[in-house]
Amino acid sequence: MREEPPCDPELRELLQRGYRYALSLSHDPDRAADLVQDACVAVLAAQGAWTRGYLFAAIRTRFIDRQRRHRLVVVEPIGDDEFGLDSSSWRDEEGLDCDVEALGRALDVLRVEEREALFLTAVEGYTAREVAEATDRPRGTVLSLVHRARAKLRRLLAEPEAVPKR
Amino acid sequence: MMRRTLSEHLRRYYSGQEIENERLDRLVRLIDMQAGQSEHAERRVRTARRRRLALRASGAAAVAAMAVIALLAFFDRPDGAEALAGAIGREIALNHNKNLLVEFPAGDYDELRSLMRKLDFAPRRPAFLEAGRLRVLGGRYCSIQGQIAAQIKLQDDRGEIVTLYETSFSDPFGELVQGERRVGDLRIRIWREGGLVLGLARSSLVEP
Repeated sequence: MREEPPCDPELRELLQRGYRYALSLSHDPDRAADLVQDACVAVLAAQGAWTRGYLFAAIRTRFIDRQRRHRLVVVEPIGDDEFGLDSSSWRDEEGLDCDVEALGRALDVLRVEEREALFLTAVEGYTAREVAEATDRPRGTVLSLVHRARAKLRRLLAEPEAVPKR
Repeated sequence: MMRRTLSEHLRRYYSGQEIENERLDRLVRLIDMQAGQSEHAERRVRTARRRRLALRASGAAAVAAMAVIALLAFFDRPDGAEALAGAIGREIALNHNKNLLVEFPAGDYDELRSLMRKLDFAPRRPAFLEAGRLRVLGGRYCSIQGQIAAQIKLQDDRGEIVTLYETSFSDPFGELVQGERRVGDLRIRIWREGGLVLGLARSSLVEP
């Protein structure tokens, strides 16, 4: 059964969310927009569901395909000592000061999988288990990624001179 | 600067990131158009099913007609120029029936020109088509007789999808026979205009 796209405002909101997710993967506005367009074409061709989960999965698949094509995937092993973390290790602690530009530059320093896990948890409200399912990674790895991404961001934002200028 | 949690900063950062309006409009148009087109295709399948049933009822007459057509085709074999037009017609029909998604959603020929930069010519509205009579939906690259071409999807006010093909006129098209022919259920019109070879494919069930 073919899935109808949602009505205009909902569709636009879904596409904007897809774009932000694509941006968390590529950290490049043009590439993110291309990923969203390619993903939409794929959803149409497959007569897939116009849901956040389906669109995000289509975006992710296209991103990984492109990375493989350009041999840009960097695999870094995650040490066993980091698997002892639980969700409480990446909950928000005290507040911090930062401006949007500095945060954008600091996000650019993160690894793709760190930025993705951070985006899905902090912005989209996924639980660690949901991220694990969506990204096909063990829950422990997700917790580790988010923990490490937060620690890196805090360090980078505390020392702006350590963030490379664009 | 406001003191916020890291998650709040991240939400604020990402909520400020938006796909450009123009690109978003094109994307929404592409989705609406393709979704609508699927509906249209489903309607066409239902219509075709009804037509097949009607055809079966007049089976004997159809067999006789086929025999006559086969005989006529045997005695009226095409020459080189006719064969070329026939080959182009079949190629156009094949492309039309593939019903591939557009790569460049666009609202008019100007937009298509700016998007389809690999073409060695500028896509344009054929002279015989009144402006606005067939709405431009977008285009994609294709080839005609091995030459790069634009496949432009158009839609009439009844929702019927019509495809227009444009490619540069070059030597292989020298003896092209212009005119209209039927290929299966399609009407294919092929002609030359302003340095281009053009082809228009539409369902023969719909009057122009």
